[in-house]
Amino acid sequence: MDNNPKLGDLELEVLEHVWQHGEVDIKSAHQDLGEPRGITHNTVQSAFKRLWEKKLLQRRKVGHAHLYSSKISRQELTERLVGELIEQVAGPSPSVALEAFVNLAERAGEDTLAELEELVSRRRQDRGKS
Amino acid sequence: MRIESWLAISMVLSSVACLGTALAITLCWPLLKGFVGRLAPARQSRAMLALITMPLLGALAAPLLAFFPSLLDLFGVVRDHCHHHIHHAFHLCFLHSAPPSLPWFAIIPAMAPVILLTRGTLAEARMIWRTRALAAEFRALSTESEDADISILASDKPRAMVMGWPVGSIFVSRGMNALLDPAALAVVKEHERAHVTHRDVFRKSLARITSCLLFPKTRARLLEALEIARERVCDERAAEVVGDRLLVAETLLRIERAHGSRLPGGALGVGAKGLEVRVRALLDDSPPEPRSHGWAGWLVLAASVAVIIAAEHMHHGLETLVLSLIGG
Repeated sequence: MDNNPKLGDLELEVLEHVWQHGEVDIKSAHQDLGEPRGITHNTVQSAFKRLWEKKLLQRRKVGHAHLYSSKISRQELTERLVGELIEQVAGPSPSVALEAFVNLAERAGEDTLAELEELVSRRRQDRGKS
Repeated sequence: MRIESWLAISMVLSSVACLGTALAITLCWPLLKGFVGRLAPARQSRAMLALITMPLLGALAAPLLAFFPSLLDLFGVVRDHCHHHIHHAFHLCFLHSAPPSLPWFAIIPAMAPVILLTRGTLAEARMIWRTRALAAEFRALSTESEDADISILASDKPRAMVMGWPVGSIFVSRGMNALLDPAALAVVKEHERAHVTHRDVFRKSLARITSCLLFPKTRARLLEALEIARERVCDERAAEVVGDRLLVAETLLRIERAHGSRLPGGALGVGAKGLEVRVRALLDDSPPEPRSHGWAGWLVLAASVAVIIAAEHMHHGLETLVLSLIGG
């Protein structure tokens, strides 16, 4: 299984739809997602099938139709993507361009961090006294 | 097999100038580092960008200087001087002379700058493609916040970043919102907004491409210095908005501490080193005043005038260089 499957726009919208509605069938999803965008039933069905193949959705058969529900939460998927991001920005040759408030991939050593915390704390105290 | 082409001569000159500039920067960086480090962050960042771009400028300037008299003649500014020394064996003049003959293998090193730049541009294009795809996924997975320009990431780790290309979007995680009080959160948001305002993602893409002509270790050092300078620019902006420099330092350390899984011993890598530089810089009570560098503009102007005045001498110097290179 690909841990970090690439997701297209429609797949992301389908996931969002499933997260909002719990268990959904293709017909209702097509009404909500496909019709406003002028997308055919088959296209929506393909997106569901791809997400199921990527193991992001699960499904059960009811009569002739499949009912789909999510296999992964928004948070789990976000953490997966962040994990992928960290892998790609780590090392001397990052492959994703971003600006992070603190470095995503590299952590300061304990000694350095403790020394800096001490310095800042002392400066705060000095400022309080003055 | 030999090649007779002014383009080939231009490429040889470009590669020699590029190599010379890259070498000069490598040798001078240990001396320049201290000076650049004392500049205010915004000036420091500009200085780093200028240094990074110099081999490319050198490569572009060399053929222009070499053919300066011919170009002036071509545009009808000044008559070329070729006819004054017509008895000379060789002239760098595409109007009145035939190009000298080069051995075919001379073109291989001459193509190095073009190959390096192309490779760097393709690598950056791949990076931009991945960045845009990932940013689209993050945007789709994020929820809106009370700030219209900030999306909330469904992650419990304290993370804040600007992602996307050419203009990034700001993402702040739920973990960050939970960890920080409103004042510290404002520091994070203002810092990230400064990255967006300054178009840092785009700026650094350009730096990564143009820096391909530097030696690898020098390139890594200069890009690291640029990265730290850009972070400091945004730290200063955040400090200015919240009105408390120490709060910015405290916020940085608080988030770093919250990440856990700490390495024992000293700081490692760009991120950790950058953190130390940023925090120490914020311990100063006042923001680094940009020193009066009005002279910098005059220096550039004076250098340009000097180059124009000396262009003819440089042209002759380059003629001698080419002659010695091709064994004329």
